[in-house]
Amino acid sequence: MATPSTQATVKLQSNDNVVIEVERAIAERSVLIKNMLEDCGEVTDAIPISNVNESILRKVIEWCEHHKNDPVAAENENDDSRKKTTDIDEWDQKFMNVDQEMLFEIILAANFLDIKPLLDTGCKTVANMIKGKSPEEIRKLFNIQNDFTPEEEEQIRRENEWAEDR
Amino acid sequence: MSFAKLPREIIGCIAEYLSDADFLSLTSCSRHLHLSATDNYLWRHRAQQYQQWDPRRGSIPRNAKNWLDVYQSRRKLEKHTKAILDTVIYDVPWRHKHIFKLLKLGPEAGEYLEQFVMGADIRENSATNDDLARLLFAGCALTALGRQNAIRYWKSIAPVMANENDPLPVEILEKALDFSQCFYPYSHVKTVHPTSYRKQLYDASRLLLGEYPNIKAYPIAEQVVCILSAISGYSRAYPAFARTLSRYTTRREKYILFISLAHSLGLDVQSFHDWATIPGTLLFIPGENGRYISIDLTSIELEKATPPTTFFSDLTITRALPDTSTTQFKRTSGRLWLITFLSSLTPTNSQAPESASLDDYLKYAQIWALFIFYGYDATTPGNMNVHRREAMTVIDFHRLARWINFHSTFYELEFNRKVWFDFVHDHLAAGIDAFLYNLGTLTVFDTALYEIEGRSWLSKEIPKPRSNLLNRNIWMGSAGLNACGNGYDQNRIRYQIGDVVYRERYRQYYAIVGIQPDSGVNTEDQGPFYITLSQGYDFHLLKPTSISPCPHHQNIDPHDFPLAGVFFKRWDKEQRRFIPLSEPEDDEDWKGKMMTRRLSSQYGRRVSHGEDVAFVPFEKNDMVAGMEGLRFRNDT
Repeated sequence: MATPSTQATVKLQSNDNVVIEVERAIAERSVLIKNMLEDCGEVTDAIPISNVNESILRKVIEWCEHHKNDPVAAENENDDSRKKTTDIDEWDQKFMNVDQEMLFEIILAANFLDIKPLLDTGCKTVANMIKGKSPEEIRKLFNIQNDFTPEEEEQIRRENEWAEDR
Repeated sequence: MSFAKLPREIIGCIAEYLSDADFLSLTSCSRHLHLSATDNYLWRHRAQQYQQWDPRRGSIPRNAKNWLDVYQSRRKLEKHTKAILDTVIYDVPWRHKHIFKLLKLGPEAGEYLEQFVMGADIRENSATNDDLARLLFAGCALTALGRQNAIRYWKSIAPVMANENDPLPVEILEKALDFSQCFYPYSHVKTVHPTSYRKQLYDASRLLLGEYPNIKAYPIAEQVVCILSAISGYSRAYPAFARTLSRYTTRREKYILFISLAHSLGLDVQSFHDWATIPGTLLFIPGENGRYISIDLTSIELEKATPPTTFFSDLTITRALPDTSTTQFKRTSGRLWLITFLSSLTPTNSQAPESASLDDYLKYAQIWALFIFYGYDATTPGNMNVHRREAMTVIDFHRLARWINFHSTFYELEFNRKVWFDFVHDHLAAGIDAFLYNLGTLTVFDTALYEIEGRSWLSKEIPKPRSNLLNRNIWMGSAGLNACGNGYDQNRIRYQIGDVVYRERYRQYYAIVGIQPDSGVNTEDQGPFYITLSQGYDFHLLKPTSISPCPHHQNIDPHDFPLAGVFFKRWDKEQRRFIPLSEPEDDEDWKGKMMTRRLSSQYGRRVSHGEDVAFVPFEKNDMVAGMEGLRFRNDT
């Protein structure tokens, strides 16, 4: 097993074949890469990140760089504090202020690379967009095709009544 | 990349940050998204959020087929709890109703309360007083529900209470006190409190007082802790409670003591206040070593500063072994004699009998207790005269004393504290005068007693003959009616004690002997109720809507109310009503008109004195003689 200090940087290769070199500490914000490095020891070749393209990868790395000093949340820490609040800190808000497509890509990349805090931030951003909107408004917001028949829609509306009063 | 193409796991991730309503609006956007709404795992995850504070003791099942159902039922529970929590701090008159509802929701409601309590920060700057009150209420409720986390909660809140530099606002602490006392009457529900929990809670509260001496410097906080330990229903908490209260000497502190007592007895403050104006009203609290601490309520008079030593004088009630031969004691005759005897001891409302020392009152109380224990049935016609003579010869006062001693320990040991407390309070502490007014409700404790003897208090198996009277509020209310004023009503006809009313349904006339205080809401069916005496030996609780004033053409014969002499001085021909004993009168003449309806009922013949019928108590000498008879002999 290699000690982390032996290797200062790692190379990441996006799916459009761009190689980006980042500090190992930053790359290790991703649990996927961290585990991979721990398992394989010395990796000199570029690590292929097959699901993520260059621009998204750079964005993710930007986030990792900013958050490199955050304490890593313990695995079994009580999740309630995380669950309850949908507050996002200012930098993250600015960071997430991108078009929808990019946002979803970031979320997917975070999910793939297993960067929990980034995934949470992304999900919170989306959740904040959805909050307090009617289904029609959400459809408009995300450009979702309504493929229900009116009867089905009525039925779903009835099923969901229990949650309304709050 | 569009939203619709996001995988389900991401949707689930987002859903964690959405409220139910938002999540469901999201899932009703398209078929693809709707799949998430039927995702059992997702609902399971949501349902399990409810027990994050105490997953091991949580009531969420480990496995369920339909987690949506589980979740929905939890949500409903949460909604109820939340609604109660929101209203209870404002809706003071109906607080007990809310609390009862809350306790009925069961331990599951506690899970929500825990979430509420643990999630909130009492020191948060944004917290308003209402928030704090809600928080404290939730804490009290948790305690009463018997949740383990309650101990954690009080431990976390004690430093805040004890903080000298930045104390909680006094009104908040008073609210907390109030709340904690509200739960007091419910602490007897044994299923809610296993003994270990009660002990734990008691220990925790002791610990708090030890660890945070500042709490002691802050009386209200101390009381809160004290009462909480009392909520725990752990009997050792009593002496501590009493000791704490006895330390308060200033007027304000005394007032708090007063309120505490009232609340801790499950009374509304007003009627308690009224009682306390009756001289010699004693309150007994079971203390250490089988002794009882008696509190003379009149000494808590707010205007006079009384040294605290007079609040409590310990009474020793010696215990006696049960005499098995007395179990066959002539119950009927004994209690019959007692009722006639005691009704002769009636002091007037405004002044205590001259001999009213503490000892005398204690004897009164003991006799009353016995009397109640025998469950005199005032509703059985003919009881009074048949056995009287027999009873006179049978009763041995020494034996009576042993009886009552035996039974007080019996109550203390065998039944839960609540029963004992109620018993003592309702029957002994009300004061003789108020008590006589309550003769009408004797049947109430007959049945209650029946249940006690059958050891199934709180169980519903035993039929309750007069369930309408069994309602504790009615009894309590009527107990306080002496001073609660006569009648209420803004819209309806207002009846007073002594009025004769007509009940059309049974074509009978009733004399009003008591009024149950208003419940605060003037609806068709709620208060004031009238406790009435029929033209026989019956007592009824009547709704105002069911009675009407006695028609003028109707000739009322006061002799038709055989028990009237117990409640009324005389019949007033002009006003066509009975004059209550407590009503002040210029006319002293009635005293001279001897021989009464009561006597006539005792001897089974009518005694008429021309037009004016008066009810006269026994001669004063009789009364004194009676008191002497009450002295318990020392020889065995």
